[in-house]
Amino acid sequence: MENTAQYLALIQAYTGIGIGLIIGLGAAGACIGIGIMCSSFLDGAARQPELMPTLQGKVFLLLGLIDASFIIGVGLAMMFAFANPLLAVIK
Amino acid sequence: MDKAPNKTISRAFSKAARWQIIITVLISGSSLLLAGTNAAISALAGGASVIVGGYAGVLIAQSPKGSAAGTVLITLLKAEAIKILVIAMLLLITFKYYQGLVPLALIGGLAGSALASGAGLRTVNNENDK
Repeated sequence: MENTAQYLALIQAYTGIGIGLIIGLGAAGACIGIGIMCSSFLDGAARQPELMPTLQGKVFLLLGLIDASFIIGVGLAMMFAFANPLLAVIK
Repeated sequence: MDKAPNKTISRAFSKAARWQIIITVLISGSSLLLAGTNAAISALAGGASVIVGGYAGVLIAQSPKGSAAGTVLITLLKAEAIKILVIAMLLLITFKYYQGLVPLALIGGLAGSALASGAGLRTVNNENDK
Protein backbone atom coordinates (compact mmCIF):
# COMPACT_ATOMS: atom_id res chain seq x y z
CA MET A 1 0.00 0.00 0.00
CA GLU A 2 2.80 2.34 0.99
CA ASN A 3 4.74 1.32 -2.11
CA THR A 4 1.73 2.11 -4.28
CA ALA A 5 1.44 5.60 -2.80
CA GLN A 6 5.14 6.15 -3.39
CA TYR A 7 4.91 5.01 -7.01
CA LEU A 8 1.88 7.27 -7.50
CA ALA A 9 3.74 10.26 -6.11
CA LEU A 10 6.78 9.43 -8.24
CA ILE A 11 4.73 9.18 -11.44
CA GLN A 12 2.89 12.42 -10.69
CA ALA A 13 6.12 14.25 -9.92
CA TYR A 14 7.84 13.13 -13.11
CA THR A 15 4.67 13.85 -15.10
CA GLY A 16 4.66 17.39 -13.70
CA ILE A 17 8.25 17.88 -14.86
CA GLY A 18 7.33 16.48 -18.27
CA ILE A 19 4.35 18.81 -18.60
CA GLY A 20 6.56 21.78 -17.76
CA LEU A 21 9.13 20.71 -20.36
CA ILE A 22 6.48 20.12 -23.05
CA ILE A 23 4.89 23.54 -22.59
CA GLY A 24 8.12 25.44 -21.87
CA LEU A 25 10.22 24.08 -24.75
CA GLY A 26 7.23 24.28 -27.13
CA ALA A 27 6.64 27.91 -26.18
CA ALA A 28 10.35 28.71 -26.57
CA GLY A 29 10.45 27.17 -30.04
CA ALA A 30 7.29 28.93 -31.14
CA CYS A 31 8.56 32.26 -29.80
CA ILE A 32 11.87 31.92 -31.67
CA GLY A 33 10.03 31.05 -34.91
CA ILE A 34 7.57 33.91 -34.54
CA GLY A 35 10.39 36.33 -33.74
CA ILE A 36 12.30 35.36 -36.90
CA MET A 37 9.16 35.60 -39.04
CA CYS A 38 8.09 38.97 -37.61
CA SER A 39 11.53 40.47 -38.14
CA SER A 40 11.44 39.25 -41.74
CA PHE A 41 7.97 40.78 -42.17
CA LEU A 42 9.16 44.15 -40.86
CA ASP A 43 12.23 43.91 -43.09
CA GLY A 44 10.10 43.17 -46.15
CA ALA A 45 7.57 45.89 -45.30
CA ALA A 46 10.36 48.45 -44.92
CA ARG A 47 11.94 47.51 -48.26
CA GLN A 48 8.71 47.23 -50.24
CA PRO A 49 5.71 48.78 -48.45
CA GLU A 50 3.41 47.97 -51.39
CA LEU A 51 3.79 44.25 -50.60
CA MET A 52 2.44 44.63 -47.06
CA PRO A 53 -1.18 43.57 -47.77
CA THR A 54 0.08 40.43 -49.52
CA LEU A 55 2.47 39.62 -46.72
CA GLN A 56 -0.13 40.24 -44.00
CA GLY A 57 -2.29 37.26 -44.99
CA LYS A 58 0.74 34.99 -45.26
CA VAL A 59 2.05 36.13 -41.88
CA PHE A 60 -1.30 35.32 -40.26
CA LEU A 61 -1.37 31.82 -41.72
CA LEU A 62 2.28 31.14 -40.90
CA LEU A 63 1.69 32.28 -37.32
CA GLY A 64 -0.94 29.55 -37.13
CA LEU A 65 1.44 26.96 -38.58
CA ILE A 66 4.30 27.90 -36.24
CA ASP A 67 1.94 27.73 -33.29
CA ALA A 68 0.46 24.41 -34.38
CA SER A 69 3.24 22.42 -32.73
CA PHE A 70 2.84 24.43 -29.54
CA ILE A 71 -0.94 23.89 -29.53
CA ILE A 72 -0.46 20.15 -30.03
CA GLY A 73 2.02 20.23 -27.14
CA VAL A 74 -0.53 22.00 -24.94
CA GLY A 75 -3.10 19.34 -25.83
CA LEU A 76 -0.65 16.56 -24.93
CA ALA A 77 0.27 18.32 -21.69
CA MET A 78 -3.42 18.59 -20.77
CA MET A 79 -3.83 14.89 -21.52
CA PHE A 80 -1.03 14.09 -19.06
CA ALA A 81 -2.47 16.52 -16.51
CA PHE A 82 -6.10 15.39 -16.59
CA ALA A 83 -6.09 11.84 -17.95
CA ASN A 84 -2.59 10.52 -17.29
CA PRO A 85 -2.25 7.14 -19.05
CA LEU A 86 0.90 6.34 -17.04
CA LEU A 87 -1.14 5.99 -13.85
CA ALA A 88 -2.90 2.97 -15.34
CA VAL A 89 0.24 0.92 -14.60
CA ILE A 90 -0.43 1.17 -10.85
CA LYS A 91 -4.19 0.65 -10.97
CA MET B 1 -5.22 49.80 -48.11
CA ASP B 2 -7.08 48.48 -45.10
CA LYS B 3 -9.73 46.47 -46.97
CA ALA B 4 -7.45 44.28 -49.12
CA PRO B 5 -5.52 42.47 -46.36
CA ASN B 6 -8.73 41.89 -44.37
CA LYS B 7 -10.27 40.20 -47.40
CA THR B 8 -7.12 38.15 -47.88
CA ILE B 9 -7.11 37.05 -44.25
CA SER B 10 -10.79 36.07 -44.17
CA ARG B 11 -10.54 34.28 -47.54
CA ALA B 12 -7.44 32.41 -46.42
CA PHE B 13 -9.12 31.50 -43.14
CA SER B 14 -12.27 30.25 -44.86
CA LYS B 15 -10.21 28.03 -47.16
CA ALA B 16 -8.14 26.76 -44.22
CA ALA B 17 -11.30 26.20 -42.14
CA ARG B 18 -12.80 24.14 -44.95
CA TRP B 19 -9.78 21.83 -44.92
CA GLN B 20 -9.79 21.75 -41.12
CA ILE B 21 -13.45 20.68 -41.08
CA ILE B 22 -12.83 17.98 -43.71
CA ILE B 23 -9.84 16.54 -41.83
CA THR B 24 -11.63 16.71 -38.45
CA VAL B 25 -14.64 14.85 -39.86
CA LEU B 26 -12.33 12.25 -41.43
CA ILE B 27 -10.47 11.67 -38.14
CA SER B 28 -13.76 11.61 -36.25
CA GLY B 29 -15.19 9.05 -38.67
CA SER B 30 -12.17 6.79 -38.38
CA SER B 31 -12.27 7.16 -34.56
CA LEU B 32 -15.94 6.14 -34.65
CA LEU B 33 -15.05 3.00 -36.56
CA LEU B 34 -12.01 2.15 -34.44
CA ALA B 35 -12.99 3.18 -30.90
CA GLY B 36 -16.67 4.12 -30.71
CA THR B 37 -18.88 7.14 -30.21
CA ASN B 38 -16.94 8.76 -27.37
CA ALA B 39 -13.76 8.74 -29.47
CA ALA B 40 -15.60 10.34 -32.38
CA ILE B 41 -17.00 13.09 -30.14
CA SER B 42 -13.55 13.62 -28.62
CA ALA B 43 -11.97 14.02 -32.07
CA LEU B 44 -14.71 16.48 -33.04
CA ALA B 45 -14.11 18.45 -29.83
CA GLY B 46 -10.36 18.65 -30.55
CA GLY B 47 -10.84 19.81 -34.13
CA ALA B 48 -13.64 22.23 -33.24
CA SER B 49 -11.56 23.94 -30.55
CA VAL B 50 -8.86 24.79 -33.14
CA ILE B 51 -11.45 26.04 -35.66
CA VAL B 52 -13.26 28.20 -33.07
CA GLY B 53 -9.92 29.58 -31.85
CA GLY B 54 -8.91 30.42 -35.42
CA TYR B 55 -12.21 32.21 -35.99
CA ALA B 56 -11.68 34.26 -32.81
CA GLY B 57 -8.22 35.19 -34.10
CA VAL B 58 -9.59 36.25 -37.49
CA LEU B 59 -12.16 38.51 -35.81
CA ILE B 60 -9.33 40.35 -34.04
CA ALA B 61 -7.03 40.39 -37.10
CA GLN B 62 -9.71 41.98 -39.28
CA SER B 63 -9.72 45.21 -37.31
CA PRO B 64 -6.22 46.75 -37.45
CA LYS B 65 -5.93 50.20 -35.82
CA GLY B 66 -3.66 51.54 -38.58
CA SER B 67 -1.79 50.61 -41.74
CA ALA B 68 1.81 50.90 -40.51
CA ALA B 69 3.83 47.67 -40.49
CA GLY B 70 4.33 47.75 -36.71
CA THR B 71 0.63 48.28 -36.02
CA VAL B 72 -0.36 45.48 -38.38
CA LEU B 73 2.15 43.16 -36.71
CA ILE B 74 0.89 43.97 -33.21
CA THR B 75 -2.70 43.29 -34.33
CA LEU B 76 -1.65 39.95 -35.81
CA LEU B 77 0.25 38.94 -32.66
CA LYS B 78 -2.74 39.98 -30.52
CA ALA B 79 -4.99 37.84 -32.73
CA GLU B 80 -2.62 34.89 -32.33
CA ALA B 81 -2.52 35.29 -28.55
CA ILE B 82 -6.32 35.33 -28.37
CA LYS B 83 -6.45 32.29 -30.65
CA ILE B 84 -4.17 30.29 -28.36
CA LEU B 85 -6.06 31.45 -25.27
CA VAL B 86 -9.42 30.39 -26.74
CA ILE B 87 -8.03 27.00 -27.82
CA ALA B 88 -6.47 26.39 -24.38
CA MET B 89 -9.72 27.34 -22.61
CA LEU B 90 -11.82 25.07 -24.83
CA LEU B 91 -9.39 22.17 -24.32
CA LEU B 92 -9.43 22.76 -20.57
CA ILE B 93 -13.24 22.71 -20.51
CA THR B 94 -13.30 19.54 -22.61
CA PHE B 95 -10.76 17.72 -20.44
CA LYS B 96 -12.43 18.81 -17.19
CA TYR B 97 -16.11 18.25 -17.95
CA TYR B 98 -16.35 15.53 -20.62
CA GLN B 99 -16.49 12.28 -18.64
CA GLY B 100 -16.22 9.84 -21.54
CA LEU B 101 -13.24 11.56 -23.15
CA VAL B 102 -10.84 9.52 -25.30
CA PRO B 103 -7.61 11.56 -25.04
CA LEU B 104 -5.79 10.10 -28.04
CA ALA B 105 -8.74 10.78 -30.35
CA LEU B 106 -8.91 14.36 -29.09
CA ILE B 107 -5.18 14.86 -29.68
CA GLY B 108 -5.58 13.35 -33.16
CA GLY B 109 -8.41 15.72 -34.07
CA LEU B 110 -6.50 18.65 -32.60
CA ALA B 111 -3.26 17.85 -34.43
CA GLY B 112 -4.97 17.21 -37.75
CA SER B 113 -6.96 20.40 -37.55
CA ALA B 114 -3.99 22.51 -36.43
CA LEU B 115 -1.74 21.21 -39.20
CA ALA B 116 -4.46 21.62 -41.85
CA SER B 117 -4.51 25.38 -41.20
CA GLY B 118 -1.50 25.61 -43.52
CA ALA B 119 -3.79 24.74 -46.44
CA GLY B 120 -4.93 28.37 -46.54
CA LEU B 121 -1.39 29.40 -47.45
CA ARG B 122 -1.67 27.59 -50.77
CA THR B 123 -4.83 29.53 -51.59
CA VAL B 124 -3.14 32.87 -50.87
CA ASN B 125 -0.15 31.84 -53.00
CA ASN B 126 -2.40 30.80 -55.90
CA GLU B 127 -4.28 34.10 -55.77
CA ASN B 128 -1.03 36.04 -55.78
CA ASP B 129 0.24 34.07 -58.77
CA LYS B 130 -2.88 34.98 -60.74
